[in-house]
Amino acid sequence: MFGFKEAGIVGINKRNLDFVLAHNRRKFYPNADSKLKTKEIALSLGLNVPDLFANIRYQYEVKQFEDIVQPYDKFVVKPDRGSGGDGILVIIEKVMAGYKKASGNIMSRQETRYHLQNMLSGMYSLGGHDDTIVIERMVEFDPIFDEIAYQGVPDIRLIVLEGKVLMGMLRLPSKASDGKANLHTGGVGVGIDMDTGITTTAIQRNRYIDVHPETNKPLTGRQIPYWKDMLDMATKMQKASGLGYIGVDIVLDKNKGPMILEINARPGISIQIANQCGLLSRV
Amino acid sequence: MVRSWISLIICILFGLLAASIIYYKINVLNYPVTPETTVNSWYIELQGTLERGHKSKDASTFRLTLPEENEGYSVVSIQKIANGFGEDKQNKGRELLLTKRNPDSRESIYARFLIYGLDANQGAAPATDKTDYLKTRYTVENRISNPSPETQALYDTIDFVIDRADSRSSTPLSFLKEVQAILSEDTQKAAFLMDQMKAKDLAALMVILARVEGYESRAANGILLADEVRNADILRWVEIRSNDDSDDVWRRFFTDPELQGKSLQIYRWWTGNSPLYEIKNFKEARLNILVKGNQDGAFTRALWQAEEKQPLIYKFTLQTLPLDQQLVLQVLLLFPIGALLVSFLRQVVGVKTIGTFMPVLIAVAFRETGVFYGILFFGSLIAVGMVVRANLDRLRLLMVPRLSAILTVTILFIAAFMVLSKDMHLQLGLSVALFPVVIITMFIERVSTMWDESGGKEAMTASCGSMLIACIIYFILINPFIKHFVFTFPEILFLVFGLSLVLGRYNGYKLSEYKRFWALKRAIEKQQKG
Ligand SMILES: Nc1ncnc2c1ncn2[C@@H]1O[C@H](COP(=O)(O)OP(=O)(O)O)[C@@H](O)[C@H]1O
Ligand SMILES: [Mg+2]
Repeated sequence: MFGFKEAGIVGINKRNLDFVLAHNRRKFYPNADSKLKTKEIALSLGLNVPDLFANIRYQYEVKQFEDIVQPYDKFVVKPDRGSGGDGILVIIEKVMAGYKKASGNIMSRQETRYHLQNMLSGMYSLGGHDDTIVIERMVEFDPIFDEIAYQGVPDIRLIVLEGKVLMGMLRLPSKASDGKANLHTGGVGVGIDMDTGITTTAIQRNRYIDVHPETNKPLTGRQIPYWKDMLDMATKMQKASGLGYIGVDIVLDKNKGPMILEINARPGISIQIANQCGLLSRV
Repeated sequence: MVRSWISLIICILFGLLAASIIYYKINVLNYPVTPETTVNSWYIELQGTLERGHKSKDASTFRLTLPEENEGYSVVSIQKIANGFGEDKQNKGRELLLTKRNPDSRESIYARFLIYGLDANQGAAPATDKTDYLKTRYTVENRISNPSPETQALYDTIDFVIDRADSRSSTPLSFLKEVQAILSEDTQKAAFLMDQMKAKDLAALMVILARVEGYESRAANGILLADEVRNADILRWVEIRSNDDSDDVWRRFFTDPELQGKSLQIYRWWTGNSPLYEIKNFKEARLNILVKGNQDGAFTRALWQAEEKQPLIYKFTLQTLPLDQQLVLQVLLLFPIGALLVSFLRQVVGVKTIGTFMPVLIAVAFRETGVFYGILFFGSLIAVGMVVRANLDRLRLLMVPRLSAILTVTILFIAAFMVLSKDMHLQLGLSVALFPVVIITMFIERVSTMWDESGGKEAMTASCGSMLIACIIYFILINPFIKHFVFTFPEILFLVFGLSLVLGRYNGYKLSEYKRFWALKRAIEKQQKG
């Protein structure tokens, strides 16, 4: 109807039925759902990942949080089985009052502990099950994105279907998204030309924009470095994960180049809007 | 692709199966498609428990007054289950006597009647039997010639009341009204009369007074007939014969002022002053009476009258189940339809809801409160819950204990609400007991987390979406036609099952996605042209 099909647009029902359910076997889901598992897989393939600092599993360990992060100044805390950026803390500095987040807001130690406890009891995890907490190195992102990344680490989302990268998107944190690049938290999504790795059109909250809302720098026409390497990494991850259809999140570290951040068994479909292209026309 | 076809084929097969069973039921077995709009038959069900008293050599007995045929109603069938009891009819078949030698510490008995309203002359009809409805020993002819002063005082009081009432009234019914007025003015006289005549209650007393005055009258006992009564009371009233040139009927007079002057559908179970049941050698009996209007009329009558020589399919008819189970099933069977609707609205329309089947549960809650007060009540509960949660948030509580704290506050609020509405004499018709409080609590929690994570707008749309769907399902739940149809033809659920499968393979766009992707589609079209 209305030429949606002709445009090759994939709706959420189609994504679930014809992509996720058709290509992803349930027993491989943990490979994507658990960030620790994903890390293991990536490491076994010889791909870079942010270093794992610690894994908190029990409530009593929350008390030791300060000791655990004592050696590190910057780090990221996330629920092992979280999604969509929910519950993630990107800590850029330790200060007297507590921890400074990417947005500049400070979280007191007490607040942080409460947050960690909620994470463990499954507040941010898929289906509300008990969860564990991953503490990892904060990626020092490549200055190439300095102009257009606001308070946080941009990442590159690649959609892979059975060995082929269908679509890519550069995701940029904004003021609203609190250091995270996930779109629904208010991040900016920028489409990428598959052949060249040059950015095309951009959206924020489903609306087309030309410049970054905070830095006012143009978003289009930028070359993503290591583009071919990234495509290669993404297909490798897809094959190793056992899942046929995934979204791979890659970050670009200043020193170590592209790193696998996580993979996703049910990647979102807004990427089509950012690329001004339907997923179906790429299959 | 193959899966979609399989789903579609299963759906069609199940649909055909349902259709053919329904066709057979309607055309061959004459099941009624629509409920009868004017209900004129009712199920009456008795569920009793008997507690054994001290062990004794004598048998324990339970005597039950059976529903009698009368000018307004015929009793179509009687079924009873009383395991190990000896049965005996007494008093010209009007009473059932159950006897057991060594009863268990708790015995249960069960009886079910189907009564059928007769078209002629609802509620009042001429006296046809030969009972003497004028008999009393207080008429002037029957009085003792040389009474003791006490008896003389009794006679005087009777005469006083009767004369006074007589002078103020013109018809039998107004006579009764006056008697009641006089007796309630002068409670001393009333007490004296009751005491002296050993009358059981006001109705019994008034029957005697009417007879002394020369009106045929009798005490009657019965129940209110309604669509659904889970715990019916036995009502008592006076019946008085009004016999003039134009007509000859028994008129009903309620001593309870709340029942006076209302046109109520009432079934007279038995007449006289005997109780509904009596026990011997049992310590206690508890009897629960259920009434359910039968909208399947002739059909169930046929079903009940000849249970043996019927086709097997009748065995699977839900109308033969005990009443309380029927009442539950009637609602339960509608759940899948509600769930299907939720699936449709979520998958095809794209309505956002809180929790998957929460709307179905909310709709059930509305059934108890009515939709208007339901939304009001639900809304205020959630508002209170959100405020509480927001404040509890500052205390940094763990999730599950926080849930129980919210639950506690919610229930306290409900209690306060009930007390308040009682004090203000608000007849809200709230039966909050069945209100699924736990569900409200979870609802509050979900709304709040949604509020925190995706903002107030998201949370509000999802809440409104849930409420909207709940309202739609509510109207399905209370619709008598849908209720009747699904209960009489439960095989329709095969189709619902099939449709769920098809819906589960729907890979088209949601209605909401047309909006979401509209700009995208335009952009793609522009590229394709350019
Ligand atoms: N180690 C990290 N260093 C810096 N930023 C990070 C790190 N991990 C996550 N982030 C930020 O949080 C966002 C979401 O993280 P991700 O691991 O993809 O979790 P989710 O499954 O919730 O999307 C990333 O896009 C990135 O912006
Ligand atoms: Mg991610």
